Amino acid sequence: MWCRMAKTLLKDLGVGYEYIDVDTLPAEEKDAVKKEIKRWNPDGSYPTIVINDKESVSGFDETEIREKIK
Amino acid sequence: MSGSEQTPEVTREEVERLFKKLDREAESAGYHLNPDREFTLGLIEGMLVNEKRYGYWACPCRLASGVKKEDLDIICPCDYRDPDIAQYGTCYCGLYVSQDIVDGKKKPTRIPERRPAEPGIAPAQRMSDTRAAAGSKATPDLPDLSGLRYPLWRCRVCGYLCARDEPPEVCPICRAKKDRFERFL
Repeated sequence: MWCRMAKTLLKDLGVGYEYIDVDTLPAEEKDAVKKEIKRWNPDGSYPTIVINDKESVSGFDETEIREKIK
Repeated sequence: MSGSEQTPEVTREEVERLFKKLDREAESAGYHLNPDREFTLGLIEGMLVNEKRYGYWACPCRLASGVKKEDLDIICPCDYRDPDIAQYGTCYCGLYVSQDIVDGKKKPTRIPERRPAEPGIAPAQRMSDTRAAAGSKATPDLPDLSGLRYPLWRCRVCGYLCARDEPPEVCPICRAKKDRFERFL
């Protein structure tokens, strides 16, 4: 649900984004993606949003997303 | 993505039906569903998707392993709900909230994950971490209870205790299933 809200916010902000719904990945891809997520967000929580390969937001925090996307 | 799973279909009717059941059970036991109805319905939809995918109500905001034994602590209601409501006014996903949030005195926000990040930790281990994280005391020195006539069982979700040969099928307080009970004494 928080992931859904994050997608809606990014859409509303008119920001281009790609996403992976990790729960729908086959097992062999899941581990690689989880590792990549932990690199940005040690908690491994969802959604993890990576902005321009530079910074990230862990979990849905509207203020933080708006701030970092500017 | 190739080889990725389809998300199982869940109907609005199924979601509404489970919402009514959970709402009734929550209120009768002193818990509250999030008053933001659409948000709550979205979470319940996620639980139903997980039920079809894994066979149980894995938390809709956490990544389940699909192995029930490893996911026991995050089957809704999760082992972390009550300490999270006590500390933050909401559980991790936001399905259950405190009275203050229902009354609009407090707004639900993103909260930190109480579940330890390392995979492969048995739920029992996780539970003691949870207790430590919640700041409550570890089990104090116990008197000799070897004379107890019945074992004491503790519901890991809500803390309900009962003295009987086996835990009940369903926790009479929070509706967690039998496999969520641990031997307490």
